[in-house]
Amino acid sequence: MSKVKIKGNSSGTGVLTIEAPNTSTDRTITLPDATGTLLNSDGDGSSLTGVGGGITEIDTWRLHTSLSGDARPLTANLERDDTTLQSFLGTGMTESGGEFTFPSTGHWQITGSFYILYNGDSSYNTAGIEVSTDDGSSWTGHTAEGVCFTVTGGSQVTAWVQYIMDVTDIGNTKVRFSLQSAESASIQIYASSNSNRTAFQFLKLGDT
Amino acid sequence: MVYTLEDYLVRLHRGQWFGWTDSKNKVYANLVIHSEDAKPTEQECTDGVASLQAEYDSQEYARNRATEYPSIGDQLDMIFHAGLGGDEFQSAIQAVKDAHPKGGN
Repeated sequence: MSKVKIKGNSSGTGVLTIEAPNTSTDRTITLPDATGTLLNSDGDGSSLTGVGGGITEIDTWRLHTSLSGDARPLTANLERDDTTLQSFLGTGMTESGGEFTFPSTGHWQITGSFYILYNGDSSYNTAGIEVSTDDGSSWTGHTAEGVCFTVTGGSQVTAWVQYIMDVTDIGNTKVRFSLQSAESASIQIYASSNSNRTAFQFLKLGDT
Repeated sequence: MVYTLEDYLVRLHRGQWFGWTDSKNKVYANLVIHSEDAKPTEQECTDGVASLQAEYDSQEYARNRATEYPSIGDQLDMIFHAGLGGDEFQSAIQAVKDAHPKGGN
């Protein structure tokens, strides 16, 4: 039979009390069969290992109005996904003029997809994610690209792009989306307010 | 296919020149202009949508034909076997057939 031993600390003077709740039901608390320190109710869990933090932010935006030609970058007509049962978790992104601001620092996964209709041939079409680290004063080129090559008229394709970034300064870090086409006159970026045809997803994977 | 006001406006200018005050209700009263392009009148929009629809509807026979025609390959085969391809066509096809006879290794 194993035993339970309560051991005092000769260096301290405080009195630790194990207190019963106000209940009439018998309970059993099983101690872990391992060496370590138990987490109390106001602990932050930082000393624990092997415990994932989980995704704390999920936000999806979409283009609600179609346009002819490419977009370098998108600057308008964006809305948060409000389709039935869509996921939203946390605080969410803030958008203005096509520029997205993060609600908190962390490692963020950003995904963009453009639904493109072709009324003529187009040799290449590149979806991109652009980043600013100075509050939108200047922008990178495409930090990530997804390309559709040699598309013929009458086709419908999706250009997809993804980027995972470490956001450490939410005051100055912004992202925006663009689609560049070799034959801009041949394409239409297809959008809807009822489904995510051209859409952008933001997931916070963890703390920075 | 039924054309909408947005279908017409998309074709009018390139870029994000217009949007809606209510994206769930894309009617003329909710149309907003983002660019310096002139806002089309409601009548222009009505006529534009009607024109798109008429053009689409007038091509229904062509869309129906396109789905029912034999493949281009089959059509060319028919021309060859009917001997109607002209000398150059017939001889070019026959040369390939002779080089790779059916049942050959």
